[in-house]
Amino acid sequence: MAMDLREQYDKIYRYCYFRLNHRETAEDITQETFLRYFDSVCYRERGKSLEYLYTIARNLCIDEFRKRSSKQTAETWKNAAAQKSEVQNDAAMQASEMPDDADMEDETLTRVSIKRALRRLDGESQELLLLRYVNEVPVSVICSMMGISRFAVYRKIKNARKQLKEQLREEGFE
Amino acid sequence: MNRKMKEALREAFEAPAPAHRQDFFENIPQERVSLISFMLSQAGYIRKRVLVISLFPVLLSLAGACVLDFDMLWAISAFMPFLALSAVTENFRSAAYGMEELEMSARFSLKSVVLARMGILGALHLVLLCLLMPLACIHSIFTVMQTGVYLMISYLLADVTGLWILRNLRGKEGLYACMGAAVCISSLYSLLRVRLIRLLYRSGFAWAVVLLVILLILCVSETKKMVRQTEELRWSLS
Repeated sequence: MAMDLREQYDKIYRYCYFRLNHRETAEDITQETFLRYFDSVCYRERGKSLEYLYTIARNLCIDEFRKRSSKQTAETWKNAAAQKSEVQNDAAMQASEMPDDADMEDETLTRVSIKRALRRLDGESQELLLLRYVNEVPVSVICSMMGISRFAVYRKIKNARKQLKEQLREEGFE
Repeated sequence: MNRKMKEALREAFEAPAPAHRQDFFENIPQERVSLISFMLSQAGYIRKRVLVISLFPVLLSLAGACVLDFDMLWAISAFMPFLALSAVTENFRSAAYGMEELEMSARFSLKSVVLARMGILGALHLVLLCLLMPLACIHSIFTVMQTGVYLMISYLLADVTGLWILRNLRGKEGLYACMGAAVCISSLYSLLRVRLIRLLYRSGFAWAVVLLVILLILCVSETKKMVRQTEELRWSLS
């Protein structure tokens, strides 16, 4: 399978950032994923590159998360939270600086509502939505990455979509 | 899921831009290649006519042994310099066509490419020699070993001369000089064949072996010099 590595880098990075919520660590994990991928030529030649990449990334994120939960000090978490709020503030600033256009306002509102609705979903549903609809990972790859059947993946994605719709309805969207 | 929703999801999951992506892809590790796959890939670049030329002495010896019932050793030995010429000129192809600089900037170093091609052609010619030895001595007065030495001297003489010429003369002139040398050696072998046979058959096999060893040493030395020259060129061009 011929892959655009740069495109995959962005997608893997987005996935790692979603799992770790820390920019530098997410990038480190992304690069580590690619280095491990390049190290195993024989696996790639069997033609399951994408599955392999996502599996490495997922496992590295889990390892990192475990390491973090045992070592993380309150300070680092505070920093991460501060970074996140900074990003949110920037987004809010950007939104306020936008021209006073009704459509733009609507779009910003939708974005904020979707973010809020997504945050209310469980981790697995968020992960599935990210993989399937944002990173456009094929279902077969998600199956082998998560170790579940194709049927289970379809069912879980359907549930995630349903939950998201319910959350959005609560937010006042139809 | 509709396009708008997908777009909204993409924005919701948007991560800050990665800071070191460009650096990472600039220093990305190269894929490792095994020796066998490297050799096979290089075998594909050897011109087909070189392989066809290599088959010619085998066909000649087969014709002499099975169809004509005639001693073809002199003809085969006279052809050996051209076989050596085909191998030597194949290795200097990039120099002859002024493509060294381009090949040096390629993924594999020029030195490894030249060595790989020399190894492939050398191994092929060794196999051919092993086939030729029993075939060429069928109607000859020589034993299998003597036939081998006789053919090897002719081959190595052209090989050493060709390598020396191509090391000292650049471009197409080197190829022409090499061709001239091969013709000279081949003619000399044809003209002096009675004396050479006498030398080898009557005056003792030991002298022929000594000559063969000297030529082998010279061949190794010329190859080493050629490899060193490739490295020097790489430094001077970089």
